Amino acid sequence: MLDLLAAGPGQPGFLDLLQGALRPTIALIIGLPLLGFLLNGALSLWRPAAKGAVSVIGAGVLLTTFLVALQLFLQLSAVWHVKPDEVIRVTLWSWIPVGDLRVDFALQLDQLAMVMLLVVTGVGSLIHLFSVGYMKADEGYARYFAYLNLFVMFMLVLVLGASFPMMFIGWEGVGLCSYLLIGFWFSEPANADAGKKAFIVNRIGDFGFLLAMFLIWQATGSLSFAEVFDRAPQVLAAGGAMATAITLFLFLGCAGKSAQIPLYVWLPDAMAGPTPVSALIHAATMVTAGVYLVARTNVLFALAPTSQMVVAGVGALTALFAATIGLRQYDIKKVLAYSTVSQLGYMFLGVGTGAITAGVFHLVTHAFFKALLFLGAGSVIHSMHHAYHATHSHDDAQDMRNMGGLAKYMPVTAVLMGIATLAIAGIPPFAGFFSKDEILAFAFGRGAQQPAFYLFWGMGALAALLTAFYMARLMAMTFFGPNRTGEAERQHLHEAPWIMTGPLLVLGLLSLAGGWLNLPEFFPAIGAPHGVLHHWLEPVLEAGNRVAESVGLAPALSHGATEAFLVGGAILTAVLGLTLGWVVTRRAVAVPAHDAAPETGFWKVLYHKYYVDELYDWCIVRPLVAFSRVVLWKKVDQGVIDGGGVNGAAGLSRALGWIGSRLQSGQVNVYVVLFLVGAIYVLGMVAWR
Amino acid sequence: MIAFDPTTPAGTALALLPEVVLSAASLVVLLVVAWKHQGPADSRRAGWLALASLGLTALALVWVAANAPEEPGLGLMVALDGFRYFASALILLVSAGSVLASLGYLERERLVAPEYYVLVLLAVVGLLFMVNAQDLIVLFLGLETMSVAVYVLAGYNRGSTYSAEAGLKYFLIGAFASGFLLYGIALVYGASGTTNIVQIGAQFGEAELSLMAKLGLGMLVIGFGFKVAAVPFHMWAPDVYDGAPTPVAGFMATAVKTAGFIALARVLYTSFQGSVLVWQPIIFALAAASMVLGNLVALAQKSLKRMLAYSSVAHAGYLLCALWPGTPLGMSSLTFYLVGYGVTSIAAFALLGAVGRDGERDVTLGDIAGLAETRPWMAFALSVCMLSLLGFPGTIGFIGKWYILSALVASKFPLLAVLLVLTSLVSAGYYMPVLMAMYMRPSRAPMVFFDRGLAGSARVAVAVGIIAVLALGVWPGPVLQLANHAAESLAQTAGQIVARR
Repeated sequence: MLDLLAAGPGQPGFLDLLQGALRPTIALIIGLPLLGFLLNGALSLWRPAAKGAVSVIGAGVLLTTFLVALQLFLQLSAVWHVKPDEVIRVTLWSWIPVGDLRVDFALQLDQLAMVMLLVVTGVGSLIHLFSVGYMKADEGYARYFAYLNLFVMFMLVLVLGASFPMMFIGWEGVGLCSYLLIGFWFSEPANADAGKKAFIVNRIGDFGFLLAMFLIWQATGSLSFAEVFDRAPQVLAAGGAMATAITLFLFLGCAGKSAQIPLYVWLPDAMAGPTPVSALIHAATMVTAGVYLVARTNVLFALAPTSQMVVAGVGALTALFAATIGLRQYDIKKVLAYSTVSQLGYMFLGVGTGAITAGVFHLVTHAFFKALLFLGAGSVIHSMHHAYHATHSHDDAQDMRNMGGLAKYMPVTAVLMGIATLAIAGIPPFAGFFSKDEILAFAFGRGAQQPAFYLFWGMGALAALLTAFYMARLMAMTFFGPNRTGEAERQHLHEAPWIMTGPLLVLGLLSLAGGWLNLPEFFPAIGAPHGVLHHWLEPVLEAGNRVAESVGLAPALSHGATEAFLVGGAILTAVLGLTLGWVVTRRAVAVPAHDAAPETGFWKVLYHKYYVDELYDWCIVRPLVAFSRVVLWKKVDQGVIDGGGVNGAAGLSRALGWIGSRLQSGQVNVYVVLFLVGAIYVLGMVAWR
Repeated sequence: MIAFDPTTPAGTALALLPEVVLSAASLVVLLVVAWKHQGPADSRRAGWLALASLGLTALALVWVAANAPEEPGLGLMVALDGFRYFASALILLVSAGSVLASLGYLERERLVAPEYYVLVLLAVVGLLFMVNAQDLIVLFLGLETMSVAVYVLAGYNRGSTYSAEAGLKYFLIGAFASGFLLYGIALVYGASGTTNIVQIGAQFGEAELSLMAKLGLGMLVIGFGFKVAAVPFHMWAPDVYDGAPTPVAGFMATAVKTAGFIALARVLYTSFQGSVLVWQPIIFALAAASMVLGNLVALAQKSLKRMLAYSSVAHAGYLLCALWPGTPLGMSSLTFYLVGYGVTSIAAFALLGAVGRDGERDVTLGDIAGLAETRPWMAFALSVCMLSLLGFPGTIGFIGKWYILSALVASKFPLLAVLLVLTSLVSAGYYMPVLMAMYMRPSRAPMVFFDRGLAGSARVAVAVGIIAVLALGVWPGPVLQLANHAAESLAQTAGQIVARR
């Protein structure tokens, strides 16, 4: 490797040499989590009690993968420093060679994939470590880590895939693992239902992804990223129907995976899984796959301004809508779940605006602070659960009405959750401020070209206010005020063990400093130069930006007074939201969940999440089930298909078979006669030709 | 690296090294069992010796494949091409599987006569000659060597009248079929003046065949049709499979079928490549009849063993489909499918041998009901086999069928492709009930057959088979490449003929 670098990236054939040299490393990145899955899977079948081995394997493979990724990052940043356009493509084997269609099992690594690789393995490692403490007492410990390792493997395939089908493998694989882990405690029917709901809703999105792939193949004759993005600007008319259809179908896939309106309903229910799973899959990594897909296909989206508008609009609407629901939830994980939906909306607002860097930036910072929030909530739930378990109480360990004053019992968790709250609310210099501000600034900037974006900006800004509000409410209800857990339970509350607080600490640092990854020009360059991520991603986004410029929609930032107004407004909004949330929550009379009065008025609508689940149930699920049962099942399936088709054909086949088997009399002379008949037939055929 | 010259006597011996090694080894084993043929231990020893002989032969095969000259020229009696090496390797592999499956089986059935393994080895010698033959006489010798050994193997269970009946039936009809083959060889010789497969091809060329040659061709196809159990020359198969010891049935369904198809492919592709239009209708008729009849009659079977026998007839039909196009792609799909069918069937027959007893004549679906509860791994393995035979995605059976279909479609003959798909659909009607019985039905109260399970050695054969079925089902690349290479090397020989004309 070093020899290669010494030889100089400028040499002809350097890329081939480099790809050859990196092939084992990249295979290792996929292979290690897969190995972890196989080993832990075997242990879960034969030695479920060997928790020590499971921990070492489960967390060990992830840490090793992260170290390998880090080393790769160091090597490649040296290469990219000289030649930013080199994309590392490694074909492990030829997967589908059919006529014109040739899909290789190929992985590619560019700057965008590198960011995702580091986030997935880095945050993944921390969450694996946290899980060692959190899941310690669970019977399915080995199974849990097997699934978690498998998830990381598929997530890396998704991120590193060099073609749409490869990405789709990862896409489906993470969906499978999500399903398995949401329903991890499947003996509770509600959990199993939540898993099914996630799977089925995601199917709708996957359908969009598949249709998009078919259209891409039809339009460009290829499915590999390099060729598709190369050919797209030539074969697809900018703003044309084909480009719009492809990107809208892609976005349907994103809406499913990344929980956007109208397919967001599965994510809050997905909180039925273990909390570290919520942190890893349903906050930091898998749900951001949709954002990654839009970023990856930025060339296609740049060709379809209408789709960009849809993406940004849906993102803004989701951000606002989910934030309002988050205002009136009591389950600590549900608040965070709606917060995740809302933050994902921001990311789509960013990538829909064409500000891919801003969207990816928010993806990264969100991975830090939301993972921290979820793990912090996990630490709280862990403690609450122990307390209730000790006294055999059946109260809800996740209901914030049963918490209060926990800062006294778990100070480390409280401080770190506080940092994460400041980060998500958008207080400088914490991570969330920079990324959220950048998204809103770009949305405002595009308003000059398309006024609808002023509206999207307004929705985003309002959502920011609500975000600060519900986070302050969460902190106030959980950590401050009088404790409502119960007299006997109170003494069992305790801080989490170091294996859980350790990862929290690292995430706390990242939530604090993660925003410095892409400091804006107006901010003093503390700790890092300006716009690091922006420069890093430039080579990946170059083609898309060219297209955007040609259609006159290049992402633009405002400067001067407008900029000052935007930044100042954002900070004010965050402070106002936090203050309001704090004051309103602390003023309210806090009572434990079982004493609480039922909700009334608009609060009730919010508490019931606008009755969207009920609406879907009445408008879609029930009619569909009824139609399936009455018409499709009883009439079409049982009557026509089973009665006429299947049973008829089967009966006919059986009858013919029976006749055939009658010929098989066991008499050799019969056999020889038939043989002769056959021989005469064959000889007759050749003779008369 | 020593390159040898196959035109010299010493070179010929080297070209036949695997066959020579195996013949010598089988004689050694014969000597050993002449001294030691008392108890189960002697039988086991003979089995392991047989396995070692097969391994040694494989080494010799690798050596020949690595050192044989690239272009041996025409007129040799023995082929030195990738087609032969591929087929020989496959035959050695499935034969080793059969030996492994036999080890525990023979003891359980109290068939402890170690000569069994000598017969298997001699049969394999015959099979190797069948696939290396570049001369019709060599081919016939190989076929007869194999047949005589297999006649005896089929009737090996002397205590069972069914086994004796199987041996006798196979022998009677086999002798009849051999007559056709020999007559065919004589007629072809009469028409072309040579028995060398390559020179026959050069002689006939693209010209219209004489009646004599046509009849000879027809009779050759009939003779091979018997060996591979193609309809209407299949009538012996269900009865013989049924009566023969199960590992022998497995051996016949895989190794013998492989050799039959390879030899038939070589003859059709090399000697009669100019007369495609003459033999394609026959192959079409046999393929269609085998697929339709094999699959339909399999539906009506109650015994699992007979069901597998008819399934083997149906698979002969699929393989004939692969033969039909007469293109390198078709040959490649044929060789690949033989691998898929071979590994799947070896595992399937070994498993069948484990769930039954007394020759497994009476094992029905009811007997394996609930197997998933008592023996989950066996149920899983058998399910994989059934799915692969059905051609379910994710198994090698799927890739194999798909490859045959693509060869047919590439040759612009969709009729056979449609027939293949439709009859495969019918085959779900008898493969899937096996899965349903094992997983969805409760096990019978007295579990008559389940006390045995798989013997250790058979477990190895099944495990290797299942892993191959699944691994090659998602990653067929390496074997596919080998199959392509084998087909190309056969095409090269044929190309030389064209160049000569």
